[in-house]
Amino acid sequence: MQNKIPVDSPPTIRGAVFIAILFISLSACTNTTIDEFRKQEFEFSHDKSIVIIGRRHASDYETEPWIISCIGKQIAAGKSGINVITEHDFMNELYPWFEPRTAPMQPQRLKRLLDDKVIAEKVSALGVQYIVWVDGSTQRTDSAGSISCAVGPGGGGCLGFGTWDDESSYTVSIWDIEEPASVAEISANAEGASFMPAIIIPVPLIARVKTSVCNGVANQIKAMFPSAPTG
Amino acid sequence: MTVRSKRTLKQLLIIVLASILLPACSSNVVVSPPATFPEPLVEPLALRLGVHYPEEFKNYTYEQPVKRTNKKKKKKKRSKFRVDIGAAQTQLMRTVFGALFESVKTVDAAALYAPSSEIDLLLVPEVLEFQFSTPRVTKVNVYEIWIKYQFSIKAADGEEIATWVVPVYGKTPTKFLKSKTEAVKLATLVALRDCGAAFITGFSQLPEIRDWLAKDLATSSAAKTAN
Repeated sequence: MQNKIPVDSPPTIRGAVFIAILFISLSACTNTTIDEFRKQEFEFSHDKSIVIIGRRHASDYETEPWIISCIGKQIAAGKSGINVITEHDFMNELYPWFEPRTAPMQPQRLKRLLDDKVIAEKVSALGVQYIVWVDGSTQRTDSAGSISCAVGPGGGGCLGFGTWDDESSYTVSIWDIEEPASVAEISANAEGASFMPAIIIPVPLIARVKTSVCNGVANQIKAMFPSAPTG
Repeated sequence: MTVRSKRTLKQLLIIVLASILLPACSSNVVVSPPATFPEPLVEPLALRLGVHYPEEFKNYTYEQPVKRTNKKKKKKKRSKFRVDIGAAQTQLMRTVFGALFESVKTVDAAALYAPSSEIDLLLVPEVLEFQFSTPRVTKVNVYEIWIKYQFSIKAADGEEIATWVVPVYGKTPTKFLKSKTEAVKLATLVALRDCGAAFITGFSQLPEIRDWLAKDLATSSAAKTAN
């Protein structure tokens, strides 16, 4: 069923809908840089899986679960999608060996962990071939301006201008479980300024910094893995 | 009674009712245990454990002290904040001990003074300290929880083996969360998982436990030789 705006609807409504659509489709600019360093070619069997986990050991920031979930969904999507085990499921299955306190920081530590028969069997049963570690966060670096809103008996409205800058910085490290060794590193940085002019109604023009990093990293990871055989 | 006084009475009644029904400025975080904490992936130790969960541990609730200031005769009151973690931490301990030891028996306080042949070790968990901080205080975009646990470990014959203090930590970012209550709850669950991880990875490494195990092994070997 399609909901069309009748042609004879008041011009105010049509105008408001047009403005709303215009602002939804508008967004502020984001500048994203993705660097990749690959140590070797990937040998990936498509019946295997990868797991994407956030680093949680830093005291002054937390790798957002949102970005881990976003990268995982992007990698798993589409015809060339790769099996992705969610961070939550993997951490629960291997509890307590991938908690912030116990997660291996170096591939050598992972090797020692996999020397434990019980852990190695579980990893093998899950079919995990690569672990993708994501470390970083998005921070608000600057903000300025002010918006004032008022409501009276005759109506209400806002007036003013606000702006803020967001900066994302993430490093991604891909470990081969069979070796175990780090086989690739990706660094993703993005920055963007968001604006919110307000003349009667505030109009947010948001720089989607995190989404931009998520898309960039996911595409880069997908490109590293050989395509799934067709047919 | 005039119409005007009737109206005044009605308004007064509404105000009284509203002030009774409106709750005071307080938050209560009940960290309800998740369906289950994940089953730890460990080889069980060949030890039979007896655990006594004191009532204070099972019903542990942290209450943020109410802060009052008196500036220029204006009284300010900080909202009361309660975090109830008793049920969640008891469930976590049950899951962790169940996986780490060959068998686990919950015992009452009387068992602390009566030697038993059914267990090898007796353990009593306790919360020494609970702290939390919010982004408003630290200016960092995370909610943080610190809990300091103490595990008193005794041999079955009542001999004190160790008093093990385990600080645990949990944090959770602010942005995707809706409220302070939800954030504190999530950070507490992270801290409880950290407690499980600390216990599992640290128990066998405790020097007192290692010494006790070595002594126990030597005693049983000597008994076998004598027989």
